[in-house]
Amino acid sequence: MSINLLIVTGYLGSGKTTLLREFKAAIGKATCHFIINEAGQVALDQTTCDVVDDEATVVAGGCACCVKKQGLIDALKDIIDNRRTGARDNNVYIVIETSGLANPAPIVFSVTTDEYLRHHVRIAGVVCAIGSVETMGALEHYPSAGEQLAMADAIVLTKTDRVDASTLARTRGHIALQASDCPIFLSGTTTVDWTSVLASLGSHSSKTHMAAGPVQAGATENSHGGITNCVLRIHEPLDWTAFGVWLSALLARHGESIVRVKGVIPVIDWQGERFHVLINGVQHVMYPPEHVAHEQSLPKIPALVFFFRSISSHEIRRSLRQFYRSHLNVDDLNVSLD
Amino acid sequence: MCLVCAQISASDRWTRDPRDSNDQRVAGGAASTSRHQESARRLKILNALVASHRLKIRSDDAGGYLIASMTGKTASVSSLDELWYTLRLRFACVVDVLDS
Repeated sequence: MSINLLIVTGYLGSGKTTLLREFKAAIGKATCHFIINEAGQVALDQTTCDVVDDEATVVAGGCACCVKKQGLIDALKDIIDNRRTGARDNNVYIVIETSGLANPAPIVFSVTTDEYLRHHVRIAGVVCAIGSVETMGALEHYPSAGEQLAMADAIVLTKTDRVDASTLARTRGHIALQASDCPIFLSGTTTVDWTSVLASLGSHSSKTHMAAGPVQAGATENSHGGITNCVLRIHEPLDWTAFGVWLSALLARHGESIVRVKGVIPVIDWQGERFHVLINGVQHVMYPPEHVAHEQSLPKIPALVFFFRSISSHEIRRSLRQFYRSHLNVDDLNVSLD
Repeated sequence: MCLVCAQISASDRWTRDPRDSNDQRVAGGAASTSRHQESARRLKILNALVASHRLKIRSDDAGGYLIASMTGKTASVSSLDELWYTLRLRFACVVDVLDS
């Protein structure tokens, strides 16, 4: 049984520490441990988070996605080795609060590729805190804020008590557009409902739903902070072998440009069996594909969502169709862009 | 029989060995037959991608890939990710599906 690893990310001042405090209150300190990453040399978040001593490990002096990557790995291993007995591993959470500048993608990569950690840790998801007040400015001016949003499996819009209702609605709509309908929760006027957040991470339906997110009428791409997203609708089952080669080749060559790919695709295997598979990747890191067990959670039209920069959605669509034409003699693969 | 859904622990092997964790669901020799068929189809696509670079890709005994050039240069890799990387660095073969 693996320990759940929750990554809480968000730009500087977005309210991550408040979320950790609320998480602790909701889950209980007996079943969670915090790793607080601070880009500066001095960490204060473990104090403001009201977690001390054996409940929190501080990784300070750099971001856990880069200079403090090894520090994070060591901290995780220490926690796993020294965890208290009594609680079942699947009821235990390790929560990483990233620095405000960190990109969650390398953190996910580090954990999923470490020989030890990948057998002891299950990544529950990436939760991104976004402040209601400064959302537009952060996404507009700081690419890392856009990257954090793109990586999110769930979003918590914080400080909702500091904006009026119309501003909140506008901000929420903007975030929904940027994140392709990633589940959004609110914190500020009331505390965030962590039970619902964790449930959304644990179900297929939330990730499935992402692929069916609404897209602005008439638009094919949404762009902010240099990161664009597009929805590629898959109207017929894809040959899994060809799709795997195509996507791995695409990410190997353009992984730096494609910051996230997620969604549900209909698949047909070489024996003709059909089913749906959940695809979830961050830059060049792919999570293991999963079957979608509940058909009712499927979007009406299965789709892949790409978050990218430097390339265009039309190039991606053309590439996939051309690949199937060249290697499988599929003349007109039925995929469309929203 | 499931050929795709895989609880593959190594993320860089996500497209490969999709039957490893499902062998218990596959009767008798069907698993190895499936693996062989899937591997052959994948190799056919890979070789088409590198044909213009005068390269040949084969399966190796360890479940990885063996790259060989016409000049006798060879390299063994264990995953698709490593294959793309090695093709670019050691064989100057850039596979860019956006350019295809």
